[in-house]
Amino acid sequence: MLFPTIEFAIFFAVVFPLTWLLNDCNTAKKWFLVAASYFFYAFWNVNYTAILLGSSLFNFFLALALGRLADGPARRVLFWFGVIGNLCLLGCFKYFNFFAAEAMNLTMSLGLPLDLPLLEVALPIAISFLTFHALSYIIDVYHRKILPTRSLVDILLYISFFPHLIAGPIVRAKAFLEQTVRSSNPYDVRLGFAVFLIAGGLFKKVIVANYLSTDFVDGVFRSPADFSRLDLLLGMYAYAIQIYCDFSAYTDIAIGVANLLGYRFPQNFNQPYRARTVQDFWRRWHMTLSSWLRDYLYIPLGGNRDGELMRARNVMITMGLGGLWHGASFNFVLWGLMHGTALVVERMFERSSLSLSRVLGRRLAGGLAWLITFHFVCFTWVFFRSPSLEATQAYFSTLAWGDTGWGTTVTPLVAAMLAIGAVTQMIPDRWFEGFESWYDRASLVLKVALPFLLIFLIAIAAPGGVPPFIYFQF
Amino acid sequence: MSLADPDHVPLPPGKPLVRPLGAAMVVIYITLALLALAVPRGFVNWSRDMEPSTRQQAILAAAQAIERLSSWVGLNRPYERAREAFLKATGKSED
Repeated sequence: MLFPTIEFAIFFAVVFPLTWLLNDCNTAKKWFLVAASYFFYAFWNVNYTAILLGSSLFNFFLALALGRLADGPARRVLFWFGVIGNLCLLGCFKYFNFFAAEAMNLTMSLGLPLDLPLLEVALPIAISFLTFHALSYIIDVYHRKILPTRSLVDILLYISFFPHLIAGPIVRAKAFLEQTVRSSNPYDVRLGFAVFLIAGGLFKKVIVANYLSTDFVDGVFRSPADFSRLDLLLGMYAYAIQIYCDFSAYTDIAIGVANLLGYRFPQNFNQPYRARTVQDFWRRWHMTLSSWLRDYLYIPLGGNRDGELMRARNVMITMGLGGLWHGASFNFVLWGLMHGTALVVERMFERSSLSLSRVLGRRLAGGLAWLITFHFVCFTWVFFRSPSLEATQAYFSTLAWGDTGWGTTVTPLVAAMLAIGAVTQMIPDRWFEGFESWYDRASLVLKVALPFLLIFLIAIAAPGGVPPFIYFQF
Repeated sequence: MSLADPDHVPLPPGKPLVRPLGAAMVVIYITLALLALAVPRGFVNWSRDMEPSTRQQAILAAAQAIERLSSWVGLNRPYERAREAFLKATGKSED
């Protein structure tokens, strides 16, 4: 079930009042939300709800056992069993075929052909986010940052809660479980905030991301040799806008929907293309993944504790694995490693006496830093979007040396979407706060008129169908 | 309740509504009802795309009844005209 669909509107219209009707009986409300979340997930594949249930039960009992054991080897073994168990689930479905194919290629090139069976199953949707949530729980229990919950329904809900189930944001176990202990407070519902996020998310996904994708980006990346060099350059920018509008739309709607149900999710995007360094980009892009990787991978690897060389190694491992998490392909690994390299290089600049501000002046240096960061991010998106390394190479070779000229196939509609996408990066935070404050004071008629009008306008300009969100595949 | 994470920009503080659930309920249901009346074609197309069954036939009949009502009152006209103008301006077709 996709958010911007009629079935989701009907689903939510049923779930919303029932959730609040059951609010005084918190346990019944949580069981109801679990049932609703499983129903939401079963819309794709009812069989895969077994994975959801199995993962929840596994982590629930494992955490209880971790909570009972005293620190020592047995506890450590159990913890690693839990981590590996969760990773195996992800590995089996997401990476088995990739590694099996690579192993067969390698042995073939060595003259020792190896025949490994490949899995003929579809990748269960949400498996990556499910694993992140499960790992967050057992790692925090192991480090005694949280106590294991004795309430099975809390874990079932934490793992499966439908707003964050498919593509995040990644909500830490501590932050979520604190909210499940007692009934939700109706005064935590921020209608203006939710309306802005949901309507804004619908606009970004249904209009901006969809038109950029169908009218320009898909074609440019499918056969770059058929497009001009200008088109390929604009294709990089267009994909940068498309993926932002697509992914941030999903998490915006998720945050808004969760808020309407009385739950608070963390922010996941903060105008990432305003970043002036790659480090700043990762503080603004998929913020919940960045902080997850930092806390559960980078810091346990040693973080920046053992000198610059180890720090660089840890950054590269974290970003490489972060890339691989996006998909079983060398393109994603390279994408992650390029970001890791940029982070390491930035750190070297930071530590050196070189200062752009001193040479160019503060404003010019800031502008240049933004320009370099933005283009670096766009450049790496080509690796992310292209289906293979060969396709990436074809894209860049046509862009650099192609004899396809400098004309463009960008239509006025695509140009408008690019411009709107750029504007999303420039809106000051205070506008949002001002809107929320205005909406909360507005009359009920205006409160209804505004979302109706916004969705009505989206419906007028909407394309025929809504393709899945990009991050569903991860 | 958000993550205690210094890297994250906190969500802006909102002013609590006096009756948040009542207001949310009105906004959600009236908005959906108005949309069903103003853009009835969406509901009809959606029910046509469902797997054929007696339930689908019932939903389709309900959607067509809403479409007739909307057409009779003239509520669908702004959408139809605006949609036509949008398609004409962008050179797109309904498919």
